[in-house]
Amino acid sequence: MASFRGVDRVNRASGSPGLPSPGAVPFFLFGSLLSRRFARAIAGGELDFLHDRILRVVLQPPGFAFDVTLREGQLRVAAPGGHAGGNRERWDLRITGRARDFLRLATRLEDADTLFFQRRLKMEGDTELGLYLKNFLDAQEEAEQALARFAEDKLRGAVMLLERLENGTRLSRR
Amino acid sequence: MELVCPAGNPPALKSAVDHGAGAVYIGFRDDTNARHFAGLNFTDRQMEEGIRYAHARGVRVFVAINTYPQAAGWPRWQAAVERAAGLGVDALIAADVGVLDYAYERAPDLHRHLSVQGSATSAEAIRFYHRHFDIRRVVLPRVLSLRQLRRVVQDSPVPVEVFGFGSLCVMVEGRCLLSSYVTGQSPNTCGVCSPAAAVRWDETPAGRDSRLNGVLIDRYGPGEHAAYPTLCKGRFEVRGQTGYAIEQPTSLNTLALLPELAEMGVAAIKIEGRQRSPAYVAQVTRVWRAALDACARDPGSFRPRPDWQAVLQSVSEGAQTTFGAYHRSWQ
Repeated sequence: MASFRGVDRVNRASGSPGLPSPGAVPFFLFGSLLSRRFARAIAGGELDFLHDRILRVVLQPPGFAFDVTLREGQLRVAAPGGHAGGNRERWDLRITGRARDFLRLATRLEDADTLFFQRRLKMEGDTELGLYLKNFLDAQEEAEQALARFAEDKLRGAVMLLERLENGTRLSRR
Repeated sequence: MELVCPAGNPPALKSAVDHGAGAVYIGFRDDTNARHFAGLNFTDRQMEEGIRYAHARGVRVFVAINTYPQAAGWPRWQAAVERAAGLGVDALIAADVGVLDYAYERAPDLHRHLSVQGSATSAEAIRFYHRHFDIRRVVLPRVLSLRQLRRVVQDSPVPVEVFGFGSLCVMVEGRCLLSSYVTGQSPNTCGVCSPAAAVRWDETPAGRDSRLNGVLIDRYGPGEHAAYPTLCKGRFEVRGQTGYAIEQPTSLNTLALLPELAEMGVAAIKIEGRQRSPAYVAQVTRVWRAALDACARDPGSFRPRPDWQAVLQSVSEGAQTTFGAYHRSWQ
């Protein structure tokens, strides 16, 4: 993953705006997806707190990370350092947790404070930025686009089903 | 007993309504309420839609304007009262006598509840607010034992609301200045104990360091439950011993006391947590709705179900829940 380079940086280097390098395509797509999902909030200025600020998300395990920022009215995702000229040490807020817990948060099955109390979520850096982010996400209504709503609904179902299956396996092992 | 649930945003309000709240309490996006957190609370438009959603389902909406204005900020509190009245909320929750008086003069038909921040602990104090501002309900601070509560409920001129569940603090409600000592801000005037801009968490090999305005207030060892970064729940070195010198991070849970609270005539149970997510509001409201219904059907044989307690335990601050002051037999 470390070989992924930020979309912005790659674009500037290659001189071909809008055309990400093959390695950066997943980040580019993820950024586009987020921008579409939150288009109305971005237009309304609700995400201005992320403007030129870098949110780093770290999934543990395996330690996969990516950076998110708001630039020129778009949410942009890049590999660590991709929004800071390759400086991997630069971030304003770093959130670390397990992929499953992020999924539970994203699908509204879990409360962020609960995960924080239980030490399943770490938040470092600018706490106020973190609180803005948490409260922004909490305040989001269901997605407007039917397809996004369908996807979120299915994702929630999948997470719950997986957990039921796991719990069942655990019980049957006892 | 009415179930009064918290909401810090529209989805949380809907969660509360959909899962069985009798009333939802909310606040504006400024320091006129005691949960003035970055990005939390309602715009006027969101409040209007929320009120419509709740009313269409028979659920009431209360607006907390429960901080203490300083002279320079007074127009903001006036505006908050006017906005709440204009939006058609069911009640204001206020603590400051100036705010209560203004609301009484400007919107006499809008019901007023005395906030927990008003810190009225006796029927005499409640009678004062009733006589001068015609309050219709009082929210009692979390400092009374069951025996004291019974007397207050008996003698109070208005229905009584008590806290049933949620994070506890030192509970010197409306009078706590602890956080001002470190951050220069207090919940009474600014609506927040620990402004997020003053909070820092550092993950170190030794655990998690929690700092407030640079002052180390706690260090959580690996696996140890964390708490909100408030001064009162920090651990300090006192005479060579490090520990909770003021208050332990813990949550109030009075589920087991429901039959007693109902029997003594408590009118409403309040759930803490406007800063929590819609997921928390859904989980907690569902449990309390089921418990209140079960208690109303047959108070004599009411027992909190283990699965209810497990849910409440899982969302609690700290690793424990407590009856708080309710079980202080010496009070």
